[in-house]
Amino acid sequence: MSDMVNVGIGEVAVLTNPGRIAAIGLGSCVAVAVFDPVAKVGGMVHVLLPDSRGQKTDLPGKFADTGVPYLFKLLEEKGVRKERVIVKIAGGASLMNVNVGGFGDIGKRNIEAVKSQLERLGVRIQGEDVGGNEGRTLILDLAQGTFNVKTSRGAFRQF
Amino acid sequence: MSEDNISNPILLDALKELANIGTGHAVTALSSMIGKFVSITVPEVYLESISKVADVLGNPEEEVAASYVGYHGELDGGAMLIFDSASTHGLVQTLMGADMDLTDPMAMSMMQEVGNILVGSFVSALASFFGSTIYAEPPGVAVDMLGAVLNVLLAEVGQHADHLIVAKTTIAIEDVNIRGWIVDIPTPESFQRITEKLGL
Repeated sequence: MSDMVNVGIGEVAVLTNPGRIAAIGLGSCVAVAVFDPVAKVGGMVHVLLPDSRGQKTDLPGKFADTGVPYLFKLLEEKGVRKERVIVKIAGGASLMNVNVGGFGDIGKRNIEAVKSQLERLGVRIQGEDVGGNEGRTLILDLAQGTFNVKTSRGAFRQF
Repeated sequence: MSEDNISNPILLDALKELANIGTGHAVTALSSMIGKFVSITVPEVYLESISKVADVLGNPEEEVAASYVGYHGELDGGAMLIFDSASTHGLVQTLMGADMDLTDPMAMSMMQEVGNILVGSFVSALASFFGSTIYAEPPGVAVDMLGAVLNVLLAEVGQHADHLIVAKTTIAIEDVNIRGWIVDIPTPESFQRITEKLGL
């Protein structure tokens, strides 16, 4: 639908109600969705890898350590306050059981890295649909304030 | 690394040629496995932002069967064999003599074997082309969303680059309507290193 903003790998999107934000086809990637019910502003980042290791990038959303702080910076510029946000994360599956780039289980590493960044920002995660071995699409609906996951196995979960 | 370098037309042509050679070896292997003629198209090479790679290859939510081999050595990267869901059913039918659920262990095991042979011969063709040692990692296989399976490949090559050179070759077995792609993404830095070594 036309009101939906797709957040590709490494991208960050921030949107004011109404509208929806989605990260489509998450495998080992993790998406962080944030909604401020008072400001009616939401945002999402689509993380590919846990750690930038100081690497310069034009896509700060690509890494957990650069992407999560960058998302919150953009949200705060739109009037979002950390103390009232609802934060949910999805993705981090292990689809192929292969050792990617020496990371071992890259999905698991991404989940841990995203959680540690959120903790560092002092933000509590209120919901997660992570791990396992299925691909997911995460959709944040700003008008409803809902977080939904569609899976590759045809499941649909509000969480 | 500057993007001027990786968008150099000579580099892109070199990757196209490389994909052509690799896919040629791979389809010879597939053809002898299934006893049917397998055709390949001229490779398409894109220079694409990592954000858009999945969209360029198809609908990121579409169900596909994918086999993956990461490779390391003088050239680092990953190659993935992808069949859409209808083609995977066709392949299962052709090789096993009966259709089945794609997540059935038998079907997965068959896809793993096909992927191992195709992607394995693709990677060994790269190694002999460069006259260098390239180690292939143990293969992986999954039936899942296109975007989700591509995460594995993009995570392999995406640490140092925001833009990637993607070589895609379509393979087809016309009389049974099976169509798939081999997608090869070397890390841009290793690809540039090796082409410089070759004086390209």
